[in-house]
Amino acid sequence: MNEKTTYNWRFSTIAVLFSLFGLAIIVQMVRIQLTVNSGDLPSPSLLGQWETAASRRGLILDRNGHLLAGNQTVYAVDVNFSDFYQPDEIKEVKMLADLAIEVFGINNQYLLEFLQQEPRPLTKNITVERFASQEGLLNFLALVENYYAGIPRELIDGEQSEEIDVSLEERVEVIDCSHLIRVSCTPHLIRSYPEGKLASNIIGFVMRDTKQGQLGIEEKYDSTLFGNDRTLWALWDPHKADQAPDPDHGANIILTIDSVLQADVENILDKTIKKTGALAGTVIIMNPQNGEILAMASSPRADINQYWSEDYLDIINNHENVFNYAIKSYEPGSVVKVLTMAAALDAGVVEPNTEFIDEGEIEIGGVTIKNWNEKAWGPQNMTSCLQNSLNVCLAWVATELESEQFYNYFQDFGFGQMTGIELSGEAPGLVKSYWSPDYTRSELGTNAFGQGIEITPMQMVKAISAIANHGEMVAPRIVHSILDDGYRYTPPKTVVGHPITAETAQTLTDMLQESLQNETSLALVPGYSLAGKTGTAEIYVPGQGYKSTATNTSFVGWGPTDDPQFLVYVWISKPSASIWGSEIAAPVFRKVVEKLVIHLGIPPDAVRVALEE
Amino acid sequence: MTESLNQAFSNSPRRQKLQIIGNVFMAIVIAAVMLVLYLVVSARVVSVGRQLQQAKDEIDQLVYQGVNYRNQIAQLSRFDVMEEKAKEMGFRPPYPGEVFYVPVPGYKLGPETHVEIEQDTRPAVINVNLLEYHQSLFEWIGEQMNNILRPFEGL
Repeated sequence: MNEKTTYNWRFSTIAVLFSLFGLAIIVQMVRIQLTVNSGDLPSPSLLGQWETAASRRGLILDRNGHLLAGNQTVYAVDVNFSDFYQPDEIKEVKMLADLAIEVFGINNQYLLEFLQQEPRPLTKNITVERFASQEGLLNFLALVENYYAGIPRELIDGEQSEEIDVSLEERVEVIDCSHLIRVSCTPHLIRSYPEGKLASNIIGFVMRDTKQGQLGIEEKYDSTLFGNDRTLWALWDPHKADQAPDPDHGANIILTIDSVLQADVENILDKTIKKTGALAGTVIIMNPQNGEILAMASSPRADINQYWSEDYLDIINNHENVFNYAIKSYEPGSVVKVLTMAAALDAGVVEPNTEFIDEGEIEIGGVTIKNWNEKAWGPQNMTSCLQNSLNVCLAWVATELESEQFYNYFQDFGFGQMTGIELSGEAPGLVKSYWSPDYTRSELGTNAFGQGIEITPMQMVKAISAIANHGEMVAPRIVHSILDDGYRYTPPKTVVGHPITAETAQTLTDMLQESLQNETSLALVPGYSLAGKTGTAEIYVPGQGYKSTATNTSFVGWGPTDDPQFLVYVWISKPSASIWGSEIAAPVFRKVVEKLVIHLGIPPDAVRVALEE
Repeated sequence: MTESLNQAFSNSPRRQKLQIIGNVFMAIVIAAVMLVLYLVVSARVVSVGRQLQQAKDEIDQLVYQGVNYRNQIAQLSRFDVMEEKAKEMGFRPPYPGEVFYVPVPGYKLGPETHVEIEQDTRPAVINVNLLEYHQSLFEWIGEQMNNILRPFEGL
């Protein structure tokens, strides 16, 4: 073989090798391109990560902008329990598990068993806490970092015994755990109620796991308040950066509630229930001119930051809807006499001076109805019938109206129908139809003084607004405005009917003002013209009938009578100190009015008239 | 004379080779300029894209911080906290008889709430977040091709 042939062979070999190498590259490129979705190497154009745009749930504010329901940043803390084989690594993983149990107070049995397992199995990420607070996570990270820094635990414990001073900056800065290999923390938002129990019966709450609103405003306006945490596969490709998710915050809701007034009323209600040994109660304050609810207290209440606590199970999971007594139905008793009298006056079957001889009992539909003290009161007029709260007199008034007219008026007042207040769980109440098969004529007599029917305090407030507001009945509302995307939606005042004339309303107001003054009621507030009526209803116990020892005490009143600014309804259930509305509910009305006239800047009548002149 | 000169140059093998080389170089230069321009634009797009991604991350951080600040303010101005502070400062709630009313011409105190946000007068929002509004022509063609070829997958 000559020298030239040798060189040719070598050149050919090198050329073939290079060609094969180049071919291999091309084949690999083609393979990657063709097997983009099935191979281990995805196309660069598909590389990315799941990203969630932090979207907050809409705020709930009172009428003055005070925050009642907001949000809070918490963290899902994950610990990586994979790839530990060396003694140091085993010790490190044990330390992380022990610290997580200690700092986050883990009591989930399954998780606890896993974390305490020896020898620990190799597992990927485990979420040790889904709702770690800012302070809790800082505490956990400090302990972890101290371990890595080699600071003995005894020394750390000594420092921990003193209160950790977390600065404002540390409380608001988003915590970054990316410098830790085995620990990751992902921020997310949960509902927060800074005022705790204040107005909790109105607000409701949000389930932490499902983020669904439950009860109150939270449930009624769940889709409006909902902040949509948009989670998308965000591409790393910078050309498509604009396709990353944008936050979709929920709308804010401004309530008609005044939180200062609400707190005062809750305070009065709670003290009354404690003092009188009552079971529960509610107080509603409404502006009768526009239907705005200024306060709506209900007791007992739950701390909605801890809605899962066993202390509140009876309030939240109760099938009788005791979460908010303002929209729960009950037999209200004598406060209904106001509406019976309104119907009779409006229909023209009686006048304020119509005489009635009270003989102490009256028989209607085969049932004998007696007065509250079972005595005969002799000659009365309609004003004194109301003043003395005579069952016999009002039952007679109802018979003068007759069933059809009586129940038509009650229907016009909205009984048996929901008021439409923007709260979840409102009861419709129960008023029998006079043509229904199980209706008996005796019910006309008992319904006239508020027994045998079920009405919610909210329905009573709505109905009485027709009397306080010159015959114009307004729908109660608790949402002042909804703010979304820089715009405001304010529901208008809604007039839902004129069940009685303005003249009837004025006549009845005068009668109730006079009767309140004549009986020197505990509801009176010096200097203010008020109209009102007490109510005491026996409670029906299945199998035992009505028991006079257990009552629902109520009071409804409004003022100033010439220019009504407020309408207050009080219901105290099963007080043990007294069974009478005049002794239990009337003083609550007075205390509430004393607070609200100052807070709303309503001067005494004499001053107001002088100022207007 | 001119024609003969043109013919002499055009027919010259040396000139012909130079012309070819010149054209190739010209093509290379044009391609190089276009590639450099493309590279510059791509780099700029990448840079802006990264900035956009960072800005979105910062928005997230700011949302969390904003929420935390508001929560802190709410905690510090809670009703019971404020009441306690007022008591510490020697204040107490007034009674009706202790209040003096002074007339101020033109001013009327009432429970009215004024929200300084414009009343919504917009027409109903139409959902424009449809794929068709974001897709380029090529993406649309690709999608249509995929739709056509889908029945033949796996054959």
